[in-house]
Amino acid sequence: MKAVLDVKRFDPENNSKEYFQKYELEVEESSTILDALIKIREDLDGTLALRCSCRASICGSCGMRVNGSAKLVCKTRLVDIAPEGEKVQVEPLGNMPIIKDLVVDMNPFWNKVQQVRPFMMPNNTEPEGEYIASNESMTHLVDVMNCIMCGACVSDCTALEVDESFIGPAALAKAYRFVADPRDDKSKDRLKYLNKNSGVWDCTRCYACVEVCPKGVAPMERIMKMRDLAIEEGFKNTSGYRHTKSFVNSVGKSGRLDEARLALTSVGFFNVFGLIDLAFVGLKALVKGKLPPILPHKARESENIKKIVNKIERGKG
Amino acid sequence: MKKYAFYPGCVARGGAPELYQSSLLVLDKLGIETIELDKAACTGAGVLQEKNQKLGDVLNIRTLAFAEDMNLPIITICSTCQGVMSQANHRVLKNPEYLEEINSELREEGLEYKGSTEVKHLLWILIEDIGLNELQKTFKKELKGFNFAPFYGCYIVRPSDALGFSENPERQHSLDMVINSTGASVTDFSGKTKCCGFPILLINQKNSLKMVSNHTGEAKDKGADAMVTPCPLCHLNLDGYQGKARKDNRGDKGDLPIIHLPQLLGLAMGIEPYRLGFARHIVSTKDFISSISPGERYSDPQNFNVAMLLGMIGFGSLIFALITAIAAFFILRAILIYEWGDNSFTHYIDTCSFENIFIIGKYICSFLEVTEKVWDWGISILTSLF
Amino acid sequence: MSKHDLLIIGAGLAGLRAAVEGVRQGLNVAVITKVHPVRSHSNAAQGGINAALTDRGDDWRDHAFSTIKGSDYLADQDAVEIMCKEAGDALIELEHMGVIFSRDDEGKLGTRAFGGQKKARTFFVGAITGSAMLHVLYEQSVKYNLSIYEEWFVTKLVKVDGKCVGVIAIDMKTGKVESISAKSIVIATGGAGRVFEPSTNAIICTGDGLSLALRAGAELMDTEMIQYHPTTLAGNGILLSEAARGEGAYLINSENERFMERYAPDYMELASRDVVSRSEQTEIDEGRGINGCVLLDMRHLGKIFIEERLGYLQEVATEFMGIDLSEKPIPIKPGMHYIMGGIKTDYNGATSVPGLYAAGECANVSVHGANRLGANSLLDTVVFGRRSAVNSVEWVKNNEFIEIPDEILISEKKRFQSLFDQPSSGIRPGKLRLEMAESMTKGIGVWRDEKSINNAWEKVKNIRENYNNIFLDDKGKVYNTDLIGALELDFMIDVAESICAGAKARKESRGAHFRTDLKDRDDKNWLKHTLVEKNDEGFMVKTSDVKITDWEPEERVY
Repeated sequence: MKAVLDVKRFDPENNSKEYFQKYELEVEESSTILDALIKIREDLDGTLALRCSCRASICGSCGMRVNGSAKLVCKTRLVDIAPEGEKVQVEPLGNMPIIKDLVVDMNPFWNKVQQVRPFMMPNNTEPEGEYIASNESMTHLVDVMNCIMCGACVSDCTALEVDESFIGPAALAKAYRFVADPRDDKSKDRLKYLNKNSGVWDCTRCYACVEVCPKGVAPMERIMKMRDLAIEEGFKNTSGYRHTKSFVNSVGKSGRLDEARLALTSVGFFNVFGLIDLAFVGLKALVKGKLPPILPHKARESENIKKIVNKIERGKG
Repeated sequence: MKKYAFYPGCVARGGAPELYQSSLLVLDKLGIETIELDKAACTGAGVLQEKNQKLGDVLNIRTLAFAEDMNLPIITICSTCQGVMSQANHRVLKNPEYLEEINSELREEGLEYKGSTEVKHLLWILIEDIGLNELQKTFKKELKGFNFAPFYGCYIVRPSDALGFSENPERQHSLDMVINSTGASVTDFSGKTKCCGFPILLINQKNSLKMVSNHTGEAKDKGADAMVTPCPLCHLNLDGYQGKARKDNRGDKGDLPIIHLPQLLGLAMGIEPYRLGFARHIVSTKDFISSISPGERYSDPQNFNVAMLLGMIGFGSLIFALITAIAAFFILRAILIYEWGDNSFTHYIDTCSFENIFIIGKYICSFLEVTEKVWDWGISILTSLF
Repeated sequence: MSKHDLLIIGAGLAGLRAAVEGVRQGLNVAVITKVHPVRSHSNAAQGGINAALTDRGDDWRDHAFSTIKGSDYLADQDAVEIMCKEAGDALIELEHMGVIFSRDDEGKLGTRAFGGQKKARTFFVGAITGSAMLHVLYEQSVKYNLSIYEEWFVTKLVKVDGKCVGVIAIDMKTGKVESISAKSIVIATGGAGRVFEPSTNAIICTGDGLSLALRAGAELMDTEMIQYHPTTLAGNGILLSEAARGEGAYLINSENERFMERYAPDYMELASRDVVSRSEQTEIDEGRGINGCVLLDMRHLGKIFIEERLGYLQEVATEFMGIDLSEKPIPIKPGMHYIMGGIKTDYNGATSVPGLYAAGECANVSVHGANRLGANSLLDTVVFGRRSAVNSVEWVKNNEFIEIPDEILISEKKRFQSLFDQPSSGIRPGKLRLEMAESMTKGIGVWRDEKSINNAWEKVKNIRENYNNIFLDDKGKVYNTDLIGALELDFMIDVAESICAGAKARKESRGAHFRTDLKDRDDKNWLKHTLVEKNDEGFMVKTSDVKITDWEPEERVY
């Protein structure tokens, strides 16, 4: 079948501008985008630079953006993405500087991974044999170990896009792997660190990482889990915690969300600057008739909702 | 006539009342009959879920069970509500044991969910249940020449496996399709399926506003006359904070109207702009509306609203004064502590929270309680007034 | 010029394990690798790692015997003993480092069955054992703050006064060519699958280390021993782990028959790999295949079991073949997978060149002999990776740094420049590699004979001549994969010739080396290793005796 690839090119030595180059070639029906790119490199244009290795979605080398979203090109078949031989756009991963063509500088990525102290820190008394731990307490971690550090999540993370200091989905998922490992002794210290600025609370919950992850790691869900674990460990001095708590309270109280109360409590009653800021926005909204910040609406028979909230939140501990 | 169980969501009944009012008008024109699920709880918007996923799922499955009892599909007008309910539904349908666990919580209320409820956003209903041809028949006004930037909202595009994209692939481009059906053009821009920043507005405002600025700025640069969104949460951030966001990040003026999907439909259907609530936007829609419907009535100063507004401004200032007083007291305390202690003043302000109060002293805590009391008390007075 | 006590080429399991040990021993260690450590091909090991744990009532001698029988008695038995004895400690150490092994009901490490062994002693992490181990060793390298030359490509080992003293390497990100001096060097560059096509191996498995060592005067041993894995996908050659059969999958032919009954009635699908691959190929050759494949059937295992224990296999089957393993059998065939042969080392990793060590797939200790058992390769990497670093300490203490002469650096630079200067009328390196690799698969396959081996060798010699006519599109310095590809091809030609030389020399059938013109094992003349050396006259083959301790060769039946 015919394949048409529109590949983003960048050569720092010659023309420092990025541009797209179109390649047309014949490929086999079962070809992946990687097969096509290799064919281009070997038969048509040896100047095309890309990283690839295992061809079987386990080494994580070939993360790229295909038609705008991050993928492992070795497991993306052309027939699935362009059944009629449509043009396929291939770009390097986002949120990282480009070295050449499809090769990005992953140092920012690795630096974030190293930032979360990515190694086991057991307590001082190692057992002679293996650690005894239930299969359940370990096997769910295998889902996180599935992470091959391909950078797809980091490429499409919407929080990283506006704030490069954010630790980011891959490194946070890595951190979770230790926080939740029963053999690790430093969970609390880890959570304390991750609870600070640029940690777990800066995630926008946009699901981009979950959507693009080629290995089902679901980094965002790990981040959410760590928010909860951090609260359980007693790290409550964050707007994030106040936000969540207030949200739960509001739903428990009226069955609905009370935006005004949420805003006030999240900012914190004693964060004067934050409150003044909020007051301006609030006043503007009032003037425009964006009504009930003050008059919260209630769900009918909200006592039932209250009962559920109380029961399940308490049941959790 | 098509009939649905209507789940408007908290924001449509709260911070974005114009969405609720315009939706009712548009649904009527489309010949859709609705019964509002007034017993349903908030979906949790993903916030509840991060604290306690099961709690969120119980509340959402409860809503689905209400609709199942009525034998109706659910219509939503909020991307976030849609996504969160779809996810809950997806989770329980995938795992019958989990569904049973949820049902055991619901039985107290006499409810049981069997798994048959369909949850659909108005956006999808337009395409799948009504059809764009039928939709176009309700249009009276050609919007040719106008450019709208679609802004989907995360939860209506991700995670795709919970949203039925494989069975209904057109859902991925539904908003583009609807905009095109009005005769207007779509302004394509890179931010259209990205995060609006709302979920972290109260956590990391700087990042949140950068997102607002990036998206509205890019759409504006690419020639959009307005941005259309099926998500009122996105609307709150993109509209409410656009001014500050654009000023801080791009140094320009926040001037891109952010309109709700039903407002766009309403305009195309020829409904008068004032009835669609265009005056209730923070970013002025005046110029935009007058270019579409020159000379038509724009604002809706109803007496009720004015009275409400005055009442609330009064009450609002009262609360504000109170909080300021507490804050002033607190600052004094903090300064005193600064003089005696080794904490820096600004650090103290930054880290101050409900919990720290116990460290300072119990009496400040009682101020807080008073504030909350006054708040609830004031609300009950206001409620009784109107 | 940078200097290190110990320089390790390659950052897979063997390389990283050696590096971690080097740091622990107090050496100034650096790793030089052409890809980031976690991109290494150790990732692709799926099924698990063998170890006989005494507290499970297992005996290392039993493991050793299985390994030796699997090797068709070509393994050096003293080395096998060391590997099997040290396996338990190596495994527990990995667990302590953080590897999340699967566990049993008591919370201890759980096992699965694997080929060529009666006892289930393979410890595993789903079907991503190699990846899980590699990532943990990378974590350890972060912990120990290891210096890593990431994306540097080694082009030459430098020898002065007969000793290995450093390397010349290209920094791929900038194109700079530099010399790095080291008192001792461990080659841990892994396999050479790209010499064949198709292969289960990654695109990076180009046998660089084998050629570097050969050019530095080291010997390669038993190069003819090429393992064909029984279950690889047709076409692209992607691997489906032996874990599938370990967990109970069947092999069936077009007549829906479990044909292994006829070839290995006792072990069935879990006979050793060379036996299963030959059985499959016989079925296919005799017309009981389906489009050149037989079927791997896992339907009876159930969806939940497959997804929990063999998740990655399910992923590969759905993504690449569109097959749900719980619903349909998947077509597979034998595919080139592993080289048992490699740089000859003693059981401390030392090669015949002073200061030069080797570990992992590129080395030949020899513990795998003529056929490697599944799940012994991961064990090999960590055991001998560690030992090579320990062994180098003594050498480092007793030797001083030796400056690398500038002439060597200059001549290497000239070599690269001459590639850039080639006229554009020539052949692209990628095309030349494909030609070579396809003829190697044809000549040195599951079956081979004098003629096929000669043909392959002729072809490779022909490719070597054509190499003088290659040209590069990319003349730039930054991330020039065109240049790296050409240099890799240069290495691969050496490796291919060594393989042909070994295959031609061994006049018998043993393990993976099955000659249709000499079908029997000949213990009288060929209980010997083949040793390949490269000198001015070409590739020369010698032989050496196999070390036998307790296990005298017997007939090999499964």
